[in-house]
Amino acid sequence: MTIEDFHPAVEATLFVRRPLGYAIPAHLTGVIEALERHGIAMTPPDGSTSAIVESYRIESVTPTRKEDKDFLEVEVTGRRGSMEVPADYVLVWCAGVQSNLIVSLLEPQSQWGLAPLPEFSSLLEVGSDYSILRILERVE
Amino acid sequence: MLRRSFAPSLIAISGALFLFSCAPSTFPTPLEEGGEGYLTSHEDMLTFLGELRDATGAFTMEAIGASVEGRELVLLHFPGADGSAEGAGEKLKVLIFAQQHGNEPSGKEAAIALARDIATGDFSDPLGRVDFYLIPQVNPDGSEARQRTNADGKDLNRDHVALFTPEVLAVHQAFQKIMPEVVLDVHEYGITSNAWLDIGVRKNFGQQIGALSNANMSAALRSYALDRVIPEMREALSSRDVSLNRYLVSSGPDARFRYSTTALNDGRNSTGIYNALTFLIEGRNGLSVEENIRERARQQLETMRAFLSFFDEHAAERWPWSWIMSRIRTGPPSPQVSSTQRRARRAR
Repeated sequence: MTIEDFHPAVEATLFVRRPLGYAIPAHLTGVIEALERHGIAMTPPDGSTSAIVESYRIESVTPTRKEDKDFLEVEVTGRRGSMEVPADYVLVWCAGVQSNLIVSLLEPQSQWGLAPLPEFSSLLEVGSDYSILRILERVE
Repeated sequence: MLRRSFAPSLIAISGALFLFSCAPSTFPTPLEEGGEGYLTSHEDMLTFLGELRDATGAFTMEAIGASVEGRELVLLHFPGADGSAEGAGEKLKVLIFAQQHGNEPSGKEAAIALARDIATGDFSDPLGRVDFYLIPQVNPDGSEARQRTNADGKDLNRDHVALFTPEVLAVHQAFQKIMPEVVLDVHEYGITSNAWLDIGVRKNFGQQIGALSNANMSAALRSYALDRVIPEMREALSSRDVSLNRYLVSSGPDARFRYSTTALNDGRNSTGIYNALTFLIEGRNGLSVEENIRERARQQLETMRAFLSFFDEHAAERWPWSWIMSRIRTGPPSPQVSSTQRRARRAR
């Protein structure tokens, strides 16, 4: 038997630039606990964490089917600004061997992240800001 | 469960490794001693492995967690001789875990036999270059109930992103502690599905093996898995009456054939994103959980042995190990968060 319809290649359809880290509101205990289960280190802001951050607005969430599996197609718009990261956030830095895992878990458009899971559905409310901030640059 | 004769003659290697001159048949596994339709229970597995450890001193056995119903999950560590074989450099850390799905018992049965083969010296060569870790059973509750899921009805091999289940959490905590360069996750595939049965066909692809398939994995590393590891294992297994093929899924003979998943929520890709070289095996299941279990376990065992032998033989190579180690130290390039599967320009 010759298999004609063979798809051995995996091709990325969305890239994101890895940020320096993420700022997560402390009240998102489910997200923080999931990161802890992965052994991902988190730190509180040191009181002077000024940063250029990027926040997302969730524009649309569309259930779709791909590779015979159900997915959420998420559209976002981003905006950037400087801010002092509030004390009621925790910080996750993208460094070392877990860096791509962290991004895959926390990006709202990640097919493989926490946000599409039913337990974290509140992260993807259309018309709302995505609660987790991308830290692009620290400002001294 | 002292039911076997065991008259060892000890050989000390580097003052640490004790091998036994007796053949594995003098230390039969519960499956080998069981009657028709027998499957090794969690209790019998722990008893057997405890006796094997005590008799041979070849491995340690550590509790790494407990299932929903409180059954102990264990990690076996076979350190082998002190140091590494001449010219091998640093030992490769290899982790195998089996039976995430309770209705796929042949991986567990084979893991028990593999522990026996290594501990008794029947298959100890890889320990010269491989630092070997084994979790023989991830889902004991599902196994006892002959069901795919754990006792809470969760599919463990879909929980590697959230790590909600205690069983998968234990695997990941062990993985993070060991940080192996090579990982193998052992499964079985069902031989019946509607689209295939409609044309009167049961699936028989022999042993199937899949490599890392998430878009964040290095293409070079994936090529190493597909072009080096799998062909050499296939060649080695052909003389052991085991047919090894690529693991592909399809909803039917006329549908496309593709990777089972590119997601991170399975055991292969959730460890592969750490830049480990990761695989899964899918053995051929029976019409029932028990059907033909001895032959299924034999094929799984042969495949695991071929897997370990490959990494023993190639541990001294510069590529890909130095690359993996450097990525573990410095981190990977920027991530991809979505993907699709397509035809390759040149079919493999």
